[in-house]
Amino acid sequence: MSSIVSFFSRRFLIICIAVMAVGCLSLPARCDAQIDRVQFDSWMFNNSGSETTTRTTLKTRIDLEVSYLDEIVDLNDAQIEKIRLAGTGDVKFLFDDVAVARRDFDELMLKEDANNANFNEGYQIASRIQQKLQRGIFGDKSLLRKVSQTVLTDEQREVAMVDKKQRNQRLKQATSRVFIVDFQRQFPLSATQQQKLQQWIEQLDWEAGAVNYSGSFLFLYLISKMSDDELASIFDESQIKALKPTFAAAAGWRPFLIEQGLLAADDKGGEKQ
Amino acid sequence: MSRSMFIFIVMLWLALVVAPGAANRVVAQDVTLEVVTIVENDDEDEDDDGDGDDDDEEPVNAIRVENAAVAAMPFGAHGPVSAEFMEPLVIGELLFIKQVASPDDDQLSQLTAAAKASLKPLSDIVDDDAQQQWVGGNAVLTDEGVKGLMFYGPNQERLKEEPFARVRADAAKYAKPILTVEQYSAYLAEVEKRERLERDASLDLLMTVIDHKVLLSNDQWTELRAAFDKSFKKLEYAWLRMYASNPGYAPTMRSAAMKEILTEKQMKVWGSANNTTFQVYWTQNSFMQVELEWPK
Repeated sequence: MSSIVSFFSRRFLIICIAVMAVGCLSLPARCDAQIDRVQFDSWMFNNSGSETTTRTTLKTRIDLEVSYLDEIVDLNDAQIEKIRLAGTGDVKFLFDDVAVARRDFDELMLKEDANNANFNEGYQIASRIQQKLQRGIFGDKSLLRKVSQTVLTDEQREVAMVDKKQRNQRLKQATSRVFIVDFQRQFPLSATQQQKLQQWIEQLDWEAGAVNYSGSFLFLYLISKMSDDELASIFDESQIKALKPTFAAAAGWRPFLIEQGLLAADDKGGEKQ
Repeated sequence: MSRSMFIFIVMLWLALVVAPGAANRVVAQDVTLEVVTIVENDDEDEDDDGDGDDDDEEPVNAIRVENAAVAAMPFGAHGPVSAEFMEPLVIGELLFIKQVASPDDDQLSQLTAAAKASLKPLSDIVDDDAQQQWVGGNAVLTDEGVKGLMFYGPNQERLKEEPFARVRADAAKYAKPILTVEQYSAYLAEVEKRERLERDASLDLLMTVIDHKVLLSNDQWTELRAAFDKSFKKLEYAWLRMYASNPGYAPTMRSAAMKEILTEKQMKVWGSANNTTFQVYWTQNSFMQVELEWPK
């Protein structure tokens, strides 16, 4: 009987410890314990789970990118091979950065006074990779994208450009429409005002594909930089007055938007002249 | 140490550490509604055909250990039931009527009084009977709408319905006897346009989420969007918004059109996506620092 009780007690103890351990891992801000590499990796590969799954996801992404282009311009084997190789290069660059992040993290954890402050610093290091993965590593500046352009014939390139333009247009429309809904759920607008605001956003020069929280920050920042005449062409006087605190706050987002890659450092960002 | 002592320690730990920390598990914030990750599907054995849909008729309620802490959220700890957090929505809808129906001063006073009077009954949106239990499960997008989706107030109050829909329905009722027939028709016409805009934006969000995962061609985008518009009778904007803001995750959905329009390779990628259920939480947090005031 005592052994049965002992068995259940041990089992219970193990379960308790496991539950507490899981809790500590998933609620970092509340635990004083020093974090380890496993936790650090889970922060970096937040969305895809682990290094292995991230590598698999990226490899699959290269396949999709090649298939997409092949569908449009009918690539030959040599072109496919070069594009794949370029994509592999992007993955290598990413994991070079991962190695640097891990080294920085290890150095941080070796400090004698490793505590919650360093804990937060560790999270910042992991965020560098997390954000890259979130944005996607095969953007316009990637090797894959650049090589995809250079290996095409003139005729193929023209077809690809038309396709890219269409894609950019539909993503821009989607992005701006989502922002309008976000906006009007906070601040009521008539259908005419919604249309005017959407058109104003769409005619601006910005890269599509940012239908996310940061995208809304960008648009609100740009609206805050509207001239008085532009504002008056969309909003009425009482609305402009009510929106002033919002615009004042949004005007200070420039550094954040540059950091997020949504605004170029040399971009005037619709600054009033 | 005795077993009862361990139970006490674990319960204390859950109450003091995990439950308050659950709020920190919010993965992202939306404009007026935020969503927390509640359930991750165990997609290894659910999606055999890679259509992003659990192949069983009913979704599997697979709560992983890492999510068990969320289940310990202190429901019922929100104090007296109140729907004060709905006030900005009520003012917003009133301002919308003002904007689109152009009421005169007298009408505006009546509308404002009616809107204020609608606040108290709004507290019945909080589901008292459901406060003591957390209901886990997967939200699944079906032709009929999103099944299994829960709405919560700022203090984890379970809500019986989507807050915007409720406030707008109330406004349509109190505005009718105050506005003239022409004004009311103008208001309804604007409401219809707003509904179309929100539906289009919801479709945009869904398409963007899928495109992010499987890279849709322009033709596929057009075909799939049209098919979704035809098949999905109801879409939840705030719910889809979160998937677009958190591209690492994907909603669970049932759609025959996806199997027809996506390639085998794309379906495989979609099937391996991280299907995670977001439940919709109300929050005052916003990217817009705007405080709406009652009309004077």
